[in-house]
Amino acid sequence: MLPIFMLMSLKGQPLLIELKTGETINGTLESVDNWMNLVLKEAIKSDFQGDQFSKCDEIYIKGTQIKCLRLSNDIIDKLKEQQQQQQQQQQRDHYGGGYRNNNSGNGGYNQNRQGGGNNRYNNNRGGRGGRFNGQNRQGGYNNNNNNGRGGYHNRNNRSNNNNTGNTNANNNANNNQ
Amino acid sequence: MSQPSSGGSNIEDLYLQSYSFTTAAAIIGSVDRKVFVLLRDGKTLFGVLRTFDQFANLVLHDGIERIYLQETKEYAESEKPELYVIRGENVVMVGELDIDKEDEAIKDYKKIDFKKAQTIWNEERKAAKLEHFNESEIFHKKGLALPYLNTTF
Repeated sequence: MLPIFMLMSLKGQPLLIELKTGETINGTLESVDNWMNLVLKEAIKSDFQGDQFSKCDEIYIKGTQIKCLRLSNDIIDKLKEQQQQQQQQQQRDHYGGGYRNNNSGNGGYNQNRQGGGNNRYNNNRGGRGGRFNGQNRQGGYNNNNNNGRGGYHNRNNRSNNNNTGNTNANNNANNNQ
Repeated sequence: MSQPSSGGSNIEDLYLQSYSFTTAAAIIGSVDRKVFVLLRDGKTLFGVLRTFDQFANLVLHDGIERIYLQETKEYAESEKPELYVIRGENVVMVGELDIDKEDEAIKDYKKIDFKKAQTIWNEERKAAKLEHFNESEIFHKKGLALPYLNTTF
């Protein structure tokens, strides 16, 4: 999942924005757009030295002025749950779909490419996920998932494994056409 | 690099084949690995790289900031690991860490409080900026120019 889309799914989360000037703004994310412009609610703006400047109900931050965003670490686990649920939904909805079945369509070259890669490797290797499975990278929290593959990046790999019967049948059928 | 040597064995080659942009694509090899990121303001962040895009916007899981103080051989780390979403234009470099050799660099360094280290480091940066400014003045008087200090501090 691309960073901007990840931000879009974090609406309502408290976060800290660090601007290029060094100022920090604490607030809850209200909205994001494709250029990383943000609207925060209940924002507190402070200088890097720590002197609190001002509190605002609503603040609009231009994306070009952002250095980085800092959020709570546990958010990633929540996000993964959300994604898994979404994917299961889409697998069910798009069962009859074709090649694009595995691409949930949420932006990004990463996913589409892996979708392509998956379908290739699935047929050759009898349906396991593609490259990342072979490399067996063990991210920290990934051990709960299938074979320790990466998180967002390998979303499509994961989904293939979860519904092995369904998607591989689809893939094989499609490729045989 | 245009063709993989043997099907599936050189995975990075396959990726590069299909990417229409080549600059940020190299980051893909570092996903889900521990990396360090150097930012334009001089900060060094450590964490597990989760995702990125063509602008090199990065998402770092379990990210901490580490400050190195060379003169006094001290270092400091931020207390709590956080999820960092870094805007790509502020990134100078991203490097994969070798977990075994990770602690060799700070072997002889003493760990100190993070806030203290921050203040010391900020002073150092201010001093460096002032020094650059003074040097530029001298150069300008002679009709020469120093290279632009392209950092955001």
